[in-house]
Amino acid sequence: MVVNGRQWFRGAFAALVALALVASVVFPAWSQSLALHGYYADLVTTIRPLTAYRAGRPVELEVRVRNQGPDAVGAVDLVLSPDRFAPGWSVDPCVRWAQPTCRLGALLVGQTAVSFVRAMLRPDARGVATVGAYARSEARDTLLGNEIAVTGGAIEVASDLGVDADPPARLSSGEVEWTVWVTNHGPADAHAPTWRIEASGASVRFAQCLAGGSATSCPTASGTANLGVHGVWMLRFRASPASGDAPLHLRFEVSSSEGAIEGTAPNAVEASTNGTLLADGFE
Amino acid sequence: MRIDFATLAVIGWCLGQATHASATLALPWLALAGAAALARGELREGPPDRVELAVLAFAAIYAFAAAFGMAPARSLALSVPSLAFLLLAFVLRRARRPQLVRDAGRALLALAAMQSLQVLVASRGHDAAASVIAAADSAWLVVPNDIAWCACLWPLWIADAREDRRVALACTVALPLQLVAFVALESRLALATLALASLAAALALGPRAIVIAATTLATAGAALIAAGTALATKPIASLAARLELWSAALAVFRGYPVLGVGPHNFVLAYPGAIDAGALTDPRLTPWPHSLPLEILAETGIIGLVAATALVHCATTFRRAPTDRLGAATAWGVLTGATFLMLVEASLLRSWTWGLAAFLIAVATRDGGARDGSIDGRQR
Repeated sequence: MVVNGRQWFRGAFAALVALALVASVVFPAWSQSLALHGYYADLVTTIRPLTAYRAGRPVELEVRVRNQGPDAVGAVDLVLSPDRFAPGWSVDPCVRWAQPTCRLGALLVGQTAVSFVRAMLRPDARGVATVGAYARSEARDTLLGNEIAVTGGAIEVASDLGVDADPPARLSSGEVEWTVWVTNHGPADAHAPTWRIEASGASVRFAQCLAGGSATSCPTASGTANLGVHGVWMLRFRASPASGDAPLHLRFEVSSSEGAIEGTAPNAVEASTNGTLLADGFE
Repeated sequence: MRIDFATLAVIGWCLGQATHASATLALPWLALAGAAALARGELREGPPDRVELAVLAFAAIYAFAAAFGMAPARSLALSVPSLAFLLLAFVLRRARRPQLVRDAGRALLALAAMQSLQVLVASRGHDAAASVIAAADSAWLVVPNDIAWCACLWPLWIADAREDRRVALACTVALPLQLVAFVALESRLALATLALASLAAALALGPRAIVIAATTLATAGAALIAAGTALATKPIASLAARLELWSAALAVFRGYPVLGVGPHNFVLAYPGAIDAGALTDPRLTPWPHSLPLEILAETGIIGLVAATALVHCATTFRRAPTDRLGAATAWGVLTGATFLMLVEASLLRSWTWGLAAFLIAVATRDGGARDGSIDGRQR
C-alpha cells in the first residue's frame, strides 16, 4: 500500500487529535497534577505523647505529618488506631470525618501538618497503651514504612484514695471502737491498696468490714482486694487499751498499690480517746 | 469574515494556559479546532520535512522510554503537555495563514501579562514566593522561576513592537508588569535570562546598543540592591544545589545509559544513585534543573541524540537572518532560551513544551527555508 504525503499527514494528525482527546478524558486533572508534580509523595509521620498514660485520664499526643515529596498531595488523611482508649477522640485542627480518621488537607513538598490529639484512656485500662498514626493520600508513597508511627507507654493507674473516720467510741467492755471509711475517688480502680493501723500500747482487731454496704471478709493489713471507682469500704476496729481508761492514740493510713498515682484526698486519719479527732491530708 | 480555525486553535490554547481549569480545557480545544482546521484545508498537507521527522523521532523515543521506564503509568500521566507540543508544532508550521506564528507570539505576550497580573494580585496576600505561585493559580507557574519563560521572548516582542504600534502599546504595559512579577517572585533566574537575552541582542546590534543594555542592566541591578529587596539578599545556595542535581542526573544516566529511567522518573531514581542525605537541598526535587541532563537521565543517550538532532534541524532549517534587527532578535531569543533550558527547564513543565513548539515554528516557519519542504518543494 502506498501512502502519499497527504494521507500520511491526515493520519498522523488525526491520531494526535484522538490521543489528545483521550488524554483529556483519562486525565481530566492533568494540569493540576503537573502543578502538584504528580502522584508520588513520601509522607513521614511522627507521634509523641505530651502527657502520661493514666487510666481514666485524658492523654494528649502530638502527630506530625511531613510531606518529603517529590510531589505535593491534595488530601492527606490521618488515621489513628488507638488501643485501650475510650471513644470520643478530639483531633485538632484537622477535620474529623470519621473517627478516628481526619483530613489534614493538602501538603506541599516540605510542608508539615501538626495535629494535637486528645483521647481518654479507659478507666479500666491496664498494661501498655498504644496509639498508631498513619498518613495516607491519593499519592503513591515512595518510601513505605515511615508513614506509620506508633507510640505507647505503660499505663499508670490513677486512683485517689481518701480516708474519713468517726470519733472513737468507748464500749462498755472497755474496748475502743473506731470506724473509718476508705473511698476511692477514682478515676481508676485501686488495685490492692494497703492500709496500716497504729495503736501504741494496745492490740487492735477488725470488728466489721463492709464493702458497698454489704458485709465482706475483713481484709488483712496487706489486703489484695480491689477498690473500684467510687467504691467505699467501711472498716471497724476495736482496740483494747493497756488499762481501762488510759488514753489511746489511733492512726489509720491507706496507700495505693505500688506505682499508682495518688490523688489529693487525705490518706490518713488519727484519733485519740481524749476527745480530739485529728484528720490530716498527708500520706 | 472567514474564521481561521488554525488561529483559533493556537490562540485559544495559549490564552487557556492562564489557569489550571482553563488549561485542562485548552488541550481538547486545540485538538478540536486543529481538526477543524485540517478538515477546512487550513493546514498544508504533505510529507514530513526533516524538522517534523526529528520531532516525531524524538516523540517515538520519548514514548519508548516511557513504556520501558521505571514507572510507565507516571510517565504517561505527566506527559499530556507533550501531546500539545506535537499538535502545536504541526499547526504552527503547517497553517496556510502566514501570520499565525506572529499571532501566537502576541498571544504569548497576552498570556505573560495575565500571569504577571495573577502574580501581582496573589502577592498582596502572601509573602513567600511559593505561596504567591500557589495562589496565582497559573497553569504554567509551578515554582517561582517558571516566570522566567517570558524573559527569553522579550527580544521577539520588542522587535514586533517596532513594526506594529498596537503591539508597542501592549508592550509598554506588559513588559513592565513582567518585570514587577519577576521581582515579586524573587526570581533571579528570570532577571538573569532577561539580562542575557538583552545583552545577546545588543551584541548583534552594535557597540551603542551594548552600552545602553549594559548601563540599563547595571542601573537596574544597583537599584534592586539599594532597595534592599528580598531578591538582593537571597542566598546563593541554589547554585550549589543545582550542581548537585546535575551530578545526580549524570549518576542516574550512568545507571540507565541507553533509554534512561523514563520521562519524569528522575525523582524516583536519583536518591538511590547518589548520597541523597548529603545534598545541600534535602528536599526531593522532581527535575534536575537542566533540560539536556534531564533528557539524558530520563530517555538515555538515544533520547539526547534525538533531541540534539531536533535542535540542529530547527536551527539550520532556515538561513540565519541577515538584517541587524532580525539577527539581534534571533540571538537574543536563542541565548535566553538556551540559558533557561540549561539551568531550569523541565519536561514536567507545560511552558517548556509550549515554548519549544513556538520557537521551532519561529525558527523554521517563514521565508528562506533551505529546503522549502513545508510546501512540498523539498530538494
